[in-house]
Amino acid sequence: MKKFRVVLFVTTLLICTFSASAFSISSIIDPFGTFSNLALTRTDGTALIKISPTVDLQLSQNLFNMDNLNALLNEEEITIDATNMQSAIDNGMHLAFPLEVGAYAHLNLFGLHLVPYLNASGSVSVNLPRTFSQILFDNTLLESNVEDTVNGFAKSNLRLNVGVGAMVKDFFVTGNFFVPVLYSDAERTYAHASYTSSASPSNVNVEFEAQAVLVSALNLQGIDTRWTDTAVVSQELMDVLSQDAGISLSLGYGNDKFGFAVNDITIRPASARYAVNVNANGSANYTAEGTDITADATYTISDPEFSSLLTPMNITNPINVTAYYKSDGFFMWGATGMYSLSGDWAAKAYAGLNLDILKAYYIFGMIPGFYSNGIGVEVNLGLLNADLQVAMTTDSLNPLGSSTPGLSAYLKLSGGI
Amino acid sequence: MKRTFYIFFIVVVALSFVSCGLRVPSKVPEKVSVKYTKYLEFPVTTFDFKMNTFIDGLLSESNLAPLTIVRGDPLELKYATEVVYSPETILSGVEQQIRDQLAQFGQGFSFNLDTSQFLGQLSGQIELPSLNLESQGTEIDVDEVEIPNLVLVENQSVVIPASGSIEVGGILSSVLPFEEGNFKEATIELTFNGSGGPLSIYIDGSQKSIGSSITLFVKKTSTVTIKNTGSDPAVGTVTLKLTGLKLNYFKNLDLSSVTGEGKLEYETVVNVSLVNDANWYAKLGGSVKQQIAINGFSGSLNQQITLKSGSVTLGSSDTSSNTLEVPLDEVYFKVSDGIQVSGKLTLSGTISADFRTAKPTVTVTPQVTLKAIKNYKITFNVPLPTNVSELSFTEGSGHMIVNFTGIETIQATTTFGSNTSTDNVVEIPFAGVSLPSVVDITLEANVTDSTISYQAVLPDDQDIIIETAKVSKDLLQGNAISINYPIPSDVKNLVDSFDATAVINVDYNIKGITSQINLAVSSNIFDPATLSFSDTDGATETKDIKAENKHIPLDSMDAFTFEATPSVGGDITLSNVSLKDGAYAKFQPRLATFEIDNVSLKGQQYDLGSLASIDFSQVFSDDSAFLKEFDYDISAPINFDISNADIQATLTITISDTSYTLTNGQEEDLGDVIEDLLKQGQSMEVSAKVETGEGILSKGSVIKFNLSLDVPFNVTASDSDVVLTQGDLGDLSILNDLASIIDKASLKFKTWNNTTGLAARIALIDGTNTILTSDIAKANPSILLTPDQMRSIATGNVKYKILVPEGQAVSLNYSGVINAVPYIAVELKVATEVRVSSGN
Repeated sequence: MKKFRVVLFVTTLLICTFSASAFSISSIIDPFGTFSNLALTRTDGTALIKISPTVDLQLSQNLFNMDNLNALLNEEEITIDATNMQSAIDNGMHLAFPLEVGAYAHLNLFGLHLVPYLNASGSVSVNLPRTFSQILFDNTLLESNVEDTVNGFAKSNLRLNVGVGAMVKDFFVTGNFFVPVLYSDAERTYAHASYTSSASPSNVNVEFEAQAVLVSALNLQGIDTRWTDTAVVSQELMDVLSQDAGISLSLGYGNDKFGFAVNDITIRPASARYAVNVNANGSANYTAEGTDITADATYTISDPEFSSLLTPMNITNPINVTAYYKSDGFFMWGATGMYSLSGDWAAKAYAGLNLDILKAYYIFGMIPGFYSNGIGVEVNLGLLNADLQVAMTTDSLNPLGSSTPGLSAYLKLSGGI
Repeated sequence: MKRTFYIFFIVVVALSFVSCGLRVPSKVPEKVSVKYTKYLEFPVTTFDFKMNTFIDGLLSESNLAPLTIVRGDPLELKYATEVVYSPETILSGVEQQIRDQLAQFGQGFSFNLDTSQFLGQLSGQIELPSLNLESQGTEIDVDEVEIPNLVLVENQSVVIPASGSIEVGGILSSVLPFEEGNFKEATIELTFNGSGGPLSIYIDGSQKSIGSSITLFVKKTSTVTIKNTGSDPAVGTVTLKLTGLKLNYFKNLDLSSVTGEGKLEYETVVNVSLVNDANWYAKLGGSVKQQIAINGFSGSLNQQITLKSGSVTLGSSDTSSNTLEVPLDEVYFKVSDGIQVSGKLTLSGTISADFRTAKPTVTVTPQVTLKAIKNYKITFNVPLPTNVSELSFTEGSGHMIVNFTGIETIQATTTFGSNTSTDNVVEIPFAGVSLPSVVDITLEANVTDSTISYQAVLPDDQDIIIETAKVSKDLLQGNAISINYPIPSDVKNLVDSFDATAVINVDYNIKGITSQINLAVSSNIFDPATLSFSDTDGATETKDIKAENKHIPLDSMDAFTFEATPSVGGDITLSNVSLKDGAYAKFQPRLATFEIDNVSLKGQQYDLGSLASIDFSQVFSDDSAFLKEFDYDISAPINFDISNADIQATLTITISDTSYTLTNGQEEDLGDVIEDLLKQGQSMEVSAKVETGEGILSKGSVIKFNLSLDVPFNVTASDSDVVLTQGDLGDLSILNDLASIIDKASLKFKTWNNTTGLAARIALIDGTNTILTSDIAKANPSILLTPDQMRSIATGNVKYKILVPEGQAVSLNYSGVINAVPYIAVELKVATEVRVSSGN
């Protein structure tokens, strides 16, 4: 039970986290992740070698506002009504897990910097049609007609990256192998729901239909039993890396003040050979005239169907461009931005005090429709460094009121000389 | 500088915490409390109640006879009877018979041979046949679109593990020529060359049979999976095709990829029948509209139509809309051929359509008016005049002209007898014609009105001469009057004798007739007489048939008789008579006076028998039994009056064994008695007796009694509630569960229109405990149900009652209706607590 309590706490903490899909605001400016620029590793204080594991976990949601979050954490009463669930009613229910877990090493060989790294990155998100939240939470009046279709309602772009970067002076180039772990097939993943109600003639009709198709370079069928053997795991990973991994490059420039990078220049797309499908559909209908009443309801939800793909699907990541400008004096500040050819963008700015062994800062980030306010502390003990950042985010510029807050946690440890 | 930095630092840290607002728990939470509230409105049904249907089923007209149901607002039951004895009414029956028969005699005994006789026969009004302008629709015979075979996989090497599957992937998005569609027929062909297997096909998770025609719904987003159902790996090559494809529903079908010319074409033909069995021709103005309807259609549509009648083209046009109006060319065509609307429907580009439930339809609506007619035939029969057995005109006779309104004659061909005339007017030549004969007119004319009036005239320069005409003696003498009117028994029982004064005036005018005409009269009222009529040269003269103050005893008389028999010396023959001069004999007899006086009454009792018999136990039974529970305001007055006579008389009314005797001028209201009978469900038997003393009823004297019964359904539940209907609610134990999550539930009405006059209340009762009552009579009723009430209802044994509460007045309005659209408004409130720890 204690284990369960911990899981609950961690879950609630994760629920508190917030940001949009694929949006990371965790580090001041991290060499990896959303605002990736390898040149930023130059400022991690490495004289010869340093190893740095990083964990960046987030969960975005628009179900719980601050009152309900506090109620959830403090054993108070959660109130689910049209007012508290306004964000979900207006925008549909969102849930997203962006994450990055990885480590890099930094070797400074007389001015030639080599940075090998291994990480898992990406996000899993669900964006349900507004119809669901309208039926569940909003006032349902007579003569209501709501209908919504979300193409790509479930999105995933989780991948495994292995690569090495080389930097001479202010210029760098990175070679990256990436393996698609779980990617959604945007064309075949959709959800549709409708609710119509009519007083005269008396009729209520509810319909939903959804399909999710996920592809992977890994055979996910039976992976829970198959990957209990590390030899099998390593063998399968090596097979995937050698056969199906994609290859991409990053190029860039960076110095103490500013830098820019072009990431995910695909040399060879990755191949996904496996797929898993889930279908669900259902309908309920009620009609009445006088005492003649008919009602029927049906639904089906398929078990996940695992299969291999007859023709492997090519996976590429859109090219993105990042840039930063920063000042690292006693009063430190900076700004960075990212623009992807897929249309995504992100930006953040920070300011704080730099006491060398301790940095404390305020950070403000934004992506379309979302804002974040965070604080961070970085401790530098010479051989060991730790950077912890906790950010609260909201779906409105004003973080108070009815906005649905989230929270992200970022921890980077590094050690070396 | 440092100070500024410190201030800045404090501000940003403060901002950070303000933006947060999260209260970090002091311990890991062990329980989660949730309160879920939601407001839901759910339609229940629609309710259309018509009072007239209800009442017609409730009250049987046959059970109520002789009461009549007055279907008004409110509903009423009525009965009225009146018995009158007076000199004016005592022989009213025979008086009316004499009038009727005299009128018939006047018409039948006359004959007329002059211009007006024929002008009248050749004048009048006709209606042109109305064209059928109703829309005429037909289905376009298409319920599928055939598309070429689709190859999903061809000679693809596969290795499928035992019990494993391989997904064809998103191949459908590139292969399917539509976004989504339903094949009414499709065959999945799977060819596997290799070892292992067998293989099966799943589409969107559902297994499909291979090699036989099936129905198949697919989308571009559908998933096709090949499954190895064998225990060995399947290794080899596969080819997967969809063949024999017939779509009956499709969304965004790209026709350029499934048809050679990138389009679908369908021929449409609709025959518009304008009139039946017509041999004439017409020019029409206006247009013909064609509408195409295809379920779920979107995309590019073109329709082209040509209008024809036989070989005559009436117009053509085309449009890219689903509605096309084609103006008609004003040319003659044979109307009975109708209009053939031949069209071509072309669908092209990317289209959507649904043929699953209905084929496409084409609807043609003629919006036309008649502009001109040709070869249009009008036929008049010209019979022999009344009482004339032969008639012919001289060869030297001229013609009449027929003038029309409603048409402008272009050309007319007229035949009468063996004569034919063709001109731009209608001429009817009488030369040598013998009657009876027929006038046939064949017209070509412009039409200005659908109603055609025609009027014949004899031009001043024309004369028509009767060569020979014979007025039949037998026909004239066949017009005798014979009346035999039995004396009513009540009159014969009450009346001893009376004095009658009656005069019949026979007006007549005779011209060109030299023969004498006689009329012999015999009657037990009128004096016997023989009237003789001779030529008056057209002047009107009068002869009388009389009975002056004639005393008529009834004891030896069973019937009143009247006979008038005409006689003529022989057939009347006329020759060389100009119609302008004419020859005729016209008779108009009429009853000028019919007066009864000094009616001598015998002085005895006369039983009028049963006036009304109604069994209220039959009328108000079963479903209508509740009507007995109300209090009524029944009006049933009886009046007995003797005026202008000094006669002793009484009226005795017996109603269900209780008798009421009324003397002159007395009135009694039996409403309360009848209401008692109604409420007790007893029979109401009404009978009457009249007893008179001896005496004389002179002119203006009247003995009269009347009974009128009025039961208006404006009723009151005076003493107690009146239950309209009741029953058991049944098992509603499910409400126990709902009571815990429903904060409040209301039955409301989106529309409530009650014009029935019913003001009722609904009640739910558990034994003697009333769980709920609600007034459903007011303008916008609402019944509120609380969770406690739900729990009470859930215990079972609950009855529902719909009642009219004590003291409530209601009415039954025959034209009343209740239109109600009820819905349930529920406020859900779920409060629950989930413990996530045992507390240890």
